[in-house]
Amino acid sequence: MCFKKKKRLGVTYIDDRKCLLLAAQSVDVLIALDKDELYKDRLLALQDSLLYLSPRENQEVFDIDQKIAEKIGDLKLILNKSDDIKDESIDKIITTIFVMIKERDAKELK
Amino acid sequence: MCFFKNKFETLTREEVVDTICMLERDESLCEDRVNALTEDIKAKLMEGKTLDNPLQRTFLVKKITLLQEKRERAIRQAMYILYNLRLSERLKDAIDDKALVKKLASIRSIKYFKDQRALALFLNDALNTKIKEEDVLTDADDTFKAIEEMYSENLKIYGISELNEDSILAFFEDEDPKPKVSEMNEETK
Repeated sequence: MCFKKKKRLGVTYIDDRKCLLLAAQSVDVLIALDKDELYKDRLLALQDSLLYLSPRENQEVFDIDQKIAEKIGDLKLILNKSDDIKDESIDKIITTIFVMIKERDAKELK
Repeated sequence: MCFFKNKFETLTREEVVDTICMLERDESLCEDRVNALTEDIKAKLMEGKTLDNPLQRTFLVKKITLLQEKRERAIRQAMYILYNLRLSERLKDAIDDKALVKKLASIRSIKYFKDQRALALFLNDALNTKIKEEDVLTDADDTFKAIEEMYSENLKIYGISELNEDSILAFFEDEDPKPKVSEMNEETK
């Protein structure tokens, strides 16, 4: 016999806000990991974009926010490994995150 | 009998990523330490060659032995961290795989694949519609053929009916060289 906790339905405003705040704070770590400041400008622009996103109780918007957080995690792994050589994949991931932010804006309007 | 949630379900991807980053940094530090000790040992070995005093040499040997032991410990530490790193990477991949499968399973069109009976009915219906439309086309083709077969060519328009037309045709089949056009007209008169 297994007692399962009843799943909370839907996404709350607080869940999405935590996700966005964590993502924005993680960008600080990325800037610190970027020792040669090759991506500093783009990362600062990314952090600004993330800080001004408003949390929503929409599941689709929350899914995108989670994907953004995952991409930031991937960036952390690459910046942690990479030496002084500029990595093309870092640029691609940052561009992908900006695209996802635009997609999020489109979902918000729906 | 389970009362508590599986502890791996409570792990977030963020935590695993942070663990991997931390392990990579530690592994890199261990590697740097090993390289530094190796360089130190090499330098001391070269130094030993230049020494003449046996007591100094013995002292240097002890120092080198100590450095070698330190290096061995650092290598073992780095190997242990690497092993942890490997398992953490696999855990991250497992989390990603689970998230992907969950995401795809929630897509409407993919969710519908579960109902095999409805899928079979739908495909059957699509196939029957296709066969029906193909039959309409082939029937139309048969109708065309049937109507066209009823028609016979009017020989007065498309055939040779007049006497002089027969003689002209016979002339075409003659082996003599071609005469002038005026000669041909006289003959036909």
